[in-house]
Amino acid sequence: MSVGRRRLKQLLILMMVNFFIYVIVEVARGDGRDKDGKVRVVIPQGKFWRKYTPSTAYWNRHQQKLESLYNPVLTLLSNMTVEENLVTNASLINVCDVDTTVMSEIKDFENLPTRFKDFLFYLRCRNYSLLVDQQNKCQHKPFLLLAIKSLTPHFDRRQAIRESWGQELKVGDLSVVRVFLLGQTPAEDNFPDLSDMLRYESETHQDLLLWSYRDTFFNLTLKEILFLKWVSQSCADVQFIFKGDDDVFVNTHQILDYLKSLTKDKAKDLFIGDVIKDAGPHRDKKLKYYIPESIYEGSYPPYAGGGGFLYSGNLALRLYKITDQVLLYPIDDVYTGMCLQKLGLAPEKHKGFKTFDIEEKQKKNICSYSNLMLVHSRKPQEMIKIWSQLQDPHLNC
Amino acid sequence: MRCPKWLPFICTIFILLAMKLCIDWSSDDLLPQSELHRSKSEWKLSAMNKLSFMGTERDFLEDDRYRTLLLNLSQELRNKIPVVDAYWNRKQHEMFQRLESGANISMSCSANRDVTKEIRNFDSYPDLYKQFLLYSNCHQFPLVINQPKKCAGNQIFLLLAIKSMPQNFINRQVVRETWGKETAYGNLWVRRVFLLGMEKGDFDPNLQHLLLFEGQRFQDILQWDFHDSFFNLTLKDNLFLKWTTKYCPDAHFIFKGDDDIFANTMAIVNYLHSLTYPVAKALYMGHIVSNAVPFRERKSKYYIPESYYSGPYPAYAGGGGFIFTGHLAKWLYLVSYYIVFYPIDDVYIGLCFNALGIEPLAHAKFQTFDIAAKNRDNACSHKTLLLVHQRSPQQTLRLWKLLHDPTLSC
Repeated sequence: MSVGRRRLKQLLILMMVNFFIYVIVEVARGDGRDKDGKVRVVIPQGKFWRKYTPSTAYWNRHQQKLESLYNPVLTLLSNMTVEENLVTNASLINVCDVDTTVMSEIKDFENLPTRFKDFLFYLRCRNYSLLVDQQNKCQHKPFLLLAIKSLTPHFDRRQAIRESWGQELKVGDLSVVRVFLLGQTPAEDNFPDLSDMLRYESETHQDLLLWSYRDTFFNLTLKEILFLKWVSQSCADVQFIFKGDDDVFVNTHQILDYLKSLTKDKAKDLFIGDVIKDAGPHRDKKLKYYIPESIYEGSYPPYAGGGGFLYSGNLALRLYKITDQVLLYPIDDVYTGMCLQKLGLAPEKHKGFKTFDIEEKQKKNICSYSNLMLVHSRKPQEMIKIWSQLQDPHLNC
Repeated sequence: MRCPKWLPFICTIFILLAMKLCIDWSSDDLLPQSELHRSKSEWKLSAMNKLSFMGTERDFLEDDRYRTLLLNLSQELRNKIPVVDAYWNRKQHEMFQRLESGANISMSCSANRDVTKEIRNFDSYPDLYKQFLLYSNCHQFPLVINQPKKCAGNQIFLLLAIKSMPQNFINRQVVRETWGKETAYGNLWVRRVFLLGMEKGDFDPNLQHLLLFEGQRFQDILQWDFHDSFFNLTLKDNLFLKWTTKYCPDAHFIFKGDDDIFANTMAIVNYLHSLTYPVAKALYMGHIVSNAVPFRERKSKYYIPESYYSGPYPAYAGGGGFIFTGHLAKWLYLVSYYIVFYPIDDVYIGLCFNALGIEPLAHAKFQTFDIAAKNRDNACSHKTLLLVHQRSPQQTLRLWKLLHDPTLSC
């Protein structure tokens, strides 16, 4: 841009700001006084609160209902505490029977793709049992817990992670531990029975957590909630948690250095990742992330892309508590964003999280990996290769 | 000049009709022709069967009777391989001369440095190719996981030999649960083995413990100590033939295929059972690729440099899945001593059959290049097929369930 144009632009902005201030001052002066210059008290003419109107979208509508259950003022009016109110309305919170009312509540229900029907039928169910547990995983109060979303058949990805960035280590008094998060892969979802292999893997490596829900894309939110529950119950003393996919490369050393450099204040509410702001639901039916208008309206809160994010153990405990107040949403990272918003927090963007990969020409240069925290996506062989190159003591970046 | 709107439409219909007729006629022609060849090869085979193969490889190599027999049989192949300067052609003709003169075949597992001088542009070859060429004389690799009792007990009607890779756990489990079930159709027993090499790359995750467990648990893994790669598939075939000769010499038929296919095993068994003895005795059947020539596109998986091989390929059955008579395994194995390893496994097997004088038999229900895209999810289009390539593990499970659903109406 030429110097002249930039000057002109600056001048224009300055003029607009001046005009704006002028208008505000004038309005403020004219509003508070009548012609005689006496101060006037403003009395509202109509209702000054927003009238409650149920949303047309199913999820929003039921979220409003859920929120009213937790509203202390409303419960006070019905002579109950929030806890009593929750007990009386237990059926709205955790039911695992098929919820058929949804069929009549959503007008185009029949035409929804099956994945939505399944999701909505069991929207209120989060009671799934832990089939494979690692109770002693956190007995030595780990510094960092790596929680990796995986799928039963991905034996090779898990092994590559174990051999590379997911190694359990102990540096001084700081330890890193690892768990893989798995759901069920049943025959009705066209998975073969790999349970024997999985059992062997679990016995060998002691790093699998398996719950009894169906491992589908929409159920990743369940994976998130059940994992937070597990942290609250079995790993409450962990200082930091990384949660991500099994097809990413993570520079664990870089993450450790970053975490060690944090102040106590910053560490408490830490939640960083590749943050997406001002996003909303996709309306293109062909997309994996498609959400129909009849299910959700409005935009999404800021959220960190599910490929991988990093947060404090303390925050995990608070997140788990708040999950009760947020209805399951079919996209897991958006759901976590919603929970954070409810806590009055927002995820912070960190440029080291490359969930949309790095430039093609940078990929071959090992130095492009030395300063980043995460890159998506990498094959098992690539993970091991990048990791071993980063360990090279002669590496000069 | 403007033409009426209906003209292109009519033209298309005519062209399609002509193509259909052409295809119908040519496939009609094909059958009697291959029958003709078959009668010739049967004669050769019955001659072969008179010679009992009892000894070890060394005995065989030193036994003139086998050598003369192979010499006679290989004449046809010899005529098909152009005598030109390309490396493989040259080496193969040297091999024919050795067969004639009775000279020993050298098998060595040290790097064959000569090849770097014998191919003028060796340096420009892709790395995987160089590796293949340096070590293609090495055929001796120990078994890491064996199933010595696989064929003990009942007479095996069909042995399914499925090429897999260590990391393909889900593919193997799907095959076990669907078309690869070890079961008897009537009294015709089907058995299954997966053929694996090892992951030997510098950056491969170590899955060996899991594989050992899998082998123990399912008793169907055969693994040899060589690097499992595309160019080593010929080696895998060769080691499997050797294994069959030793551990499963009496299987009636052998099916060799990939782990990402959908196969209709019952239909295959029924078909094989319906064959007359003369056909069944020397069967080499599948989706036959005739008049194919090497790919010269460097980026292709199947790329063959001009300086490596020149000429067309003898007709061969597509490697996605084909069937041959069980007792041919030992003959294929023996003849493979005299045929230089070729980087593409199904072409190599085709060369070996050619050397044995057995013509491939085309079967229209083997679809190794897949069916029309719109029918790929439709169970009814798979009902009469014997084999189709390629299907993901989940597609295969889904199709299998649909095809075995009693309410399915096609």
